[in-house]
Amino acid sequence: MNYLLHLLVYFDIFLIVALSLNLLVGYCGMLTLAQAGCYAVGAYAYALLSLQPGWGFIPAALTGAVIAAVLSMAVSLPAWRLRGDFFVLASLAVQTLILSGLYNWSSANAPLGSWRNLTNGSFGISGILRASILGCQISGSATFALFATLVAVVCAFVLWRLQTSPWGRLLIAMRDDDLAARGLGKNTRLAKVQAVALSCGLSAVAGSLYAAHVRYVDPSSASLDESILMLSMVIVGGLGNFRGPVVGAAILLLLPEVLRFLPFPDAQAANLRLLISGALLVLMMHFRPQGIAGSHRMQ
Amino acid sequence: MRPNLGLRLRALADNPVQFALFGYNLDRHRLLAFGLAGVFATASSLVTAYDIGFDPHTGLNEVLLAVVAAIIGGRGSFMGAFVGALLLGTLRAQVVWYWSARWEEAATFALLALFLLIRPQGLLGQKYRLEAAA
Repeated sequence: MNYLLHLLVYFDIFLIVALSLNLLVGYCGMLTLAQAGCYAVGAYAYALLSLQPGWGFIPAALTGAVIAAVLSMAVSLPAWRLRGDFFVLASLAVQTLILSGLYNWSSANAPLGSWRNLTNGSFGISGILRASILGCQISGSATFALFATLVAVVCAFVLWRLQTSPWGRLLIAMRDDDLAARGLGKNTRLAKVQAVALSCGLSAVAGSLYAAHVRYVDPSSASLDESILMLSMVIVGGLGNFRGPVVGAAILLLLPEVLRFLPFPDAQAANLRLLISGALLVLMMHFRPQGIAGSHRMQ
Repeated sequence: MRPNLGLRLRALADNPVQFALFGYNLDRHRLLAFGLAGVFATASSLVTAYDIGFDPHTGLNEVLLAVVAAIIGGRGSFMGAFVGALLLGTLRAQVVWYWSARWEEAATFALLALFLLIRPQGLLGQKYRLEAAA
């Protein structure tokens, strides 16, 4: 039962990430590799704020979201000028800089959480407190799973309302023809900044959930592999609508879990997982470029 | 193989639809370009393996560095790739020497960001509008 609850929490986390990434990749057409960076910023913000000043989940997660939204300008401002491959590279640069920052903002002889040793480098931060809301701590795993599902539903609702709003249609228009949208008097630069900030903020909330669930963070949650996993969830599931990322998050989350129960030795199962997700991506690109349940075909 | 292969590949990069309209086989040229790139990448991977060994994760890092070098040198320019690779390699070695190996990746990608911001065509590349090129 605990195992299933753990899976549910992970599904909630990746649901938020995949839906928010879909806002960028599917609706704005901006293939970003910096999403794991924002996710890790959220996780670290929650870890530090809950350890030192002892904040509850909601203010800590919101602070993390605001920090990630401000940092996301490093992705959205280049998007004013750069497109296609160049934008992917710019977002990769941001991602690598965040990862380096998390790895190196540390010093061996300063206490954890002080200005000189903010992230504790490659050792990560352990012993993060369980989430507490309005002063009362969530102790049971069932309660936490319920809470995570609640957060995911709220995030999904916000994204759904925004994507079906005129603002969502502006993003689609911008994706299909930036020049035409500008010609019709829409401020596409502002829309890009808003969309990236929103998406990164929501990923940071997912990161906070992750830190509160696993209760340990280290810089590897900002790694390029993590970004690629998030991206493949969106691409396998489908771009440009609401159900695609849900399907993608479920498939890529359940794939290693299914392999766990098949009779393979552990050493092979890890490689098999990479093999299957790689083959899945190649096959999807060939036979169904819009993803399993997607509606937008990436150029 | 006719001798104007380079010209044809540049035409393919510029405008694939127009290239196909002139009667050239799009897929064959793409296959050829990927194949050639693979052959030369293999040559460099052999040197790497001879020097420091290899594991399955080496490839992605090396290719990302190569992309950075190609961008700062200037895409579509032969000497550009040469200069870019030399510059990037020197910079990474200097960062390790004067500062710390921990900042190697950060310095690499900060340089990339700088180039994308200030000189997106690279050192030796031809100037063009990025919006038109994408």
